[in-house]
Amino acid sequence: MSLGYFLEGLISSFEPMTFLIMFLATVAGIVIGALPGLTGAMAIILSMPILARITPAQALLVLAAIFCGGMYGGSISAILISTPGGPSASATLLDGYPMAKQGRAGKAMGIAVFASFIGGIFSSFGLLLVAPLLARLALSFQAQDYFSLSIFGLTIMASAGGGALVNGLVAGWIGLLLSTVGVDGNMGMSRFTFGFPSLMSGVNLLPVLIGIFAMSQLLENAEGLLVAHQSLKQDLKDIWPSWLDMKRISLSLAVGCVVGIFIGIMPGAGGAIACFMAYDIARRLYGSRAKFGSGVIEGVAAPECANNACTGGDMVPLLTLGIPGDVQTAVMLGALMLIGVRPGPLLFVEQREAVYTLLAGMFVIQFLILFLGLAACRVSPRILAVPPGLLNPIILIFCVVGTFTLGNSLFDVKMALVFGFIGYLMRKFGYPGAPLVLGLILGPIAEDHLNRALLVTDNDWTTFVTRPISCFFLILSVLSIATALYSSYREAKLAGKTAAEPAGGRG
Amino acid sequence: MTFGKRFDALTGAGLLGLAGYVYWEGSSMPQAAKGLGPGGYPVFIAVGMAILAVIRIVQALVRYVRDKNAAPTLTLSRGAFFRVLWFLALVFAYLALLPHAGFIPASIALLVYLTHFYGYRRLWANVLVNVVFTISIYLLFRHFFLVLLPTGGLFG
Repeated sequence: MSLGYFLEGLISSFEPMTFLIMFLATVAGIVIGALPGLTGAMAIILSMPILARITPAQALLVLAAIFCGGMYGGSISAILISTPGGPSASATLLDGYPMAKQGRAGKAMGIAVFASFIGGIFSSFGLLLVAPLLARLALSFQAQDYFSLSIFGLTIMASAGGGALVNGLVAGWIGLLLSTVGVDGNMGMSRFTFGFPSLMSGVNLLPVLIGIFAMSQLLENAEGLLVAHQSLKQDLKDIWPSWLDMKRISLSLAVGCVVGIFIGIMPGAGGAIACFMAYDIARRLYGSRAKFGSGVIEGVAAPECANNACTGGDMVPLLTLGIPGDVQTAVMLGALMLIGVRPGPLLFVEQREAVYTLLAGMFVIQFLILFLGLAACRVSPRILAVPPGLLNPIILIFCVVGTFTLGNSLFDVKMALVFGFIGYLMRKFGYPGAPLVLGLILGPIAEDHLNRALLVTDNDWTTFVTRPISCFFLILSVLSIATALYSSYREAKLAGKTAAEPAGGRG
Repeated sequence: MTFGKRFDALTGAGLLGLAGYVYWEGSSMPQAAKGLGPGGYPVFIAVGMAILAVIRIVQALVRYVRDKNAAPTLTLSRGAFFRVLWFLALVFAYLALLPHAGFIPASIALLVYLTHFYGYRRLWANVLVNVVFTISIYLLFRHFFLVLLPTGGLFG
């Protein structure tokens, strides 16, 4: 890590326009993260028209600010209305909502902001120290290694994307198939275009992203009438934690930081896993000193710190290898590709200034979250009172306009709508959307490297197992599938046992 | 509407059919002496897809043999599903209308209806918010992002 680059990045992130954009993105992340039914992935998608018109450094900062802001924002609705804004805030409600029921929502939200800040700062250090090292290592990768890395990326996304493993793999493979549509790069032959000239350049990523992640959510919301969430009446005083509070939660913060950064760096594991793991470890470590689940500040601090500590870690594989760790980073990858920024080891060489602005800006974002989070504590009941009936159609228009701006073409908007319906059906039948999008992104990269590797080795397929790095990624792919299969087998067995117990009892 | 084990098996069969088609298309493309050629990669994907399809079918059959009365995979409310289809039809109609009516009138009409459709019942607030929003978006994209949204006959 070069201190000079870091300081330059820090100065860049304080340029008035950059700072303003970062500020607004953090506000957007917190607000959208707080609203149940709207995800951080959707916030990233809605920012696309803006991303295309700012510098790569500013775009990276916008994405990071939305990601980190959304991660914190999820805790607001978890505490106030017992509905987490996203899966990463699921563990926060276990103690946050009981605190709100006791009239201590202000304290709970204050602890959540403080823990998010500590976790975020810790994760920023992690990203700053680990990412450049990993990127330097990844510069020695060859075509075989990149192909195996793409397969690994797809398998981890399939196993971690939610739902059954086979469903995830099917979605990923459909994504790979979609990536073959259009004129091929070798001989210029058109593949699977079915006579549509608009498909000659391939399936555009933006309509798929908007369809799968945003429009499918709007369609799901259209199933019934939407009503505004009513939070309990709260006395929002006494928000900032006292010294005694900080002393009490210090162990939770330590657990959250370590678990968050560790889980974040592991591809395929995200904030949802980290928050529950940190909550469970903290609960065991505190023992009888804190009654977790009854509304204790230690139970709010551990998961909130962990999910924010995850953010920097999540970005390590994304930036250095071009492999996302969860749905939001998958969408971030898509967004970056659309604006011509290709994550991977070369990013640290070709876009060094932008990368170091991000690494430095991550620290600034954490301070923004602290400042805006404290302000959000006061206005949060109003954020949650925004009628979803008004909000959803407005998001639809943003989706339509965002897709239209891609190429001034209504064909892309229609594609987004078609993928929205496909995404809706996938949600209903337990097929995760993230592997499909990742398949579409990794497809051309995998094809290109597979082709190159075979050209260099005279069509020798064993090269993928004889080259150590490639073989390592293939082994990891097999392991990630095996682990997912084993955990689903254990879950099924456990569910069978739970179902059998009451029956046995009656007999 | 309920979807159970049979649906899983049908999905597998459909996937197998798709894999077969992709394999056939890929194989009929010109082959390269070295490297993949245009058809090599689709064939590679088709083989993987066929394996996944077989696993899907076997899973559905095993579930059927183990428990013939197992709960369905998914139960979809007919009313909710029709609301989704109606929503889709409306947005497609809006897209068809957009080049003729223009962004501002078509969007205001769609937004006001959808806001009501989603359950927001204060009509004047609905109209006011959506008119202000639509005009703001139009102006923002025209003057700031330099994207000209369809103007239709009204401003054209």
